[in-house]
Amino acid sequence: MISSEILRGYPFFAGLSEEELQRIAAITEEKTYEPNTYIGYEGHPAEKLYLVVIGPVEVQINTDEEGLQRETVVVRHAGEVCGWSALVEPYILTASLFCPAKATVLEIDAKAMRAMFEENHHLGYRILQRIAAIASERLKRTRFQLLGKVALQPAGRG
Amino acid sequence: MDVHKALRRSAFFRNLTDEQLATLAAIAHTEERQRGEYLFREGAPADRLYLIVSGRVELEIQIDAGGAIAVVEALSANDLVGWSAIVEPYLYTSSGRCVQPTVVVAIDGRRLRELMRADARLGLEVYQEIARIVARRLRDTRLRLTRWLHTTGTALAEEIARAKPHAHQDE
Repeated sequence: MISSEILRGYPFFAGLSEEELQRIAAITEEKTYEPNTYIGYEGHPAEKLYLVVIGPVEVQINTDEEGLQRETVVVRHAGEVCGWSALVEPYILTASLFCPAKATVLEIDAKAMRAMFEENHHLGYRILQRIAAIASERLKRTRFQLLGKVALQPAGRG
Repeated sequence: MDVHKALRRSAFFRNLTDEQLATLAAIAHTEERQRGEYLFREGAPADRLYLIVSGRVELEIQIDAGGAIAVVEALSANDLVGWSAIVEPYLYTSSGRCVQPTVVVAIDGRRLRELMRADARLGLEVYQEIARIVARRLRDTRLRLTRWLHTTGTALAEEIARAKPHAHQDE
């Protein structure tokens, strides 16, 4: 549980009522990660939505089938959101989240948040609208990242 | 093809009520496109989203300033394309080219956004589906491209390995 005042500072929650912010604050915990640690791994169940308090948090994708090599697609800084897969079926992380330095994040219980959406459609609509925009941007960046690598390969194959 | 029927058939709109579906049908119309025609262009303001009734649409993105393009998706009947029309910043992230004669239901993006604002339940439903589609395409994109990189990388490693003995002989 954190203060709803903290959430108010995040553009992600712009337009939400005081009551809505309080309900979200009640299912949010602050957590600190040590340097060179992972918040979560691609392919694992996505259970939390993360708001970055002190970053950066690197969003990394596997670039081989075994999941041994990763590359950063986008870096999330203070005030930004990551871990949106926790609000989107099938609730599996589409990327790994890495802290290169000591980081602080707010962790929102996604299951509890999804239950709120069922009761409060307005809240769900506002949040999912933003999630759709973040996910869409990620898709765009991932295409560029991977196609950039493909373009660097020697010609005449594939 | 009846717009209402086409919308009802799509899994994308499966959770909408008859009333919501009728409202949606009122801001949509069917279009027939020739092979080679573009439904939309990358970077252009996204004003419509399309439900494919029949045919095939490929999504292309420009990968360098020289105009080289890459096909990132191939979509067919009952797939939804052009969802950028309801996702900020409302710009198409790829170009949609019909690679076969194609029939689509075109939905007015601005009016759909108004409907979603007025009916939050509809808004939530549609954004949930959009997010699901994006997440699936994200997964498919990564798998397809890493597989491609893997096979090319292996072929390259084999080539280097084959070349090595000769290199030693030269020394």
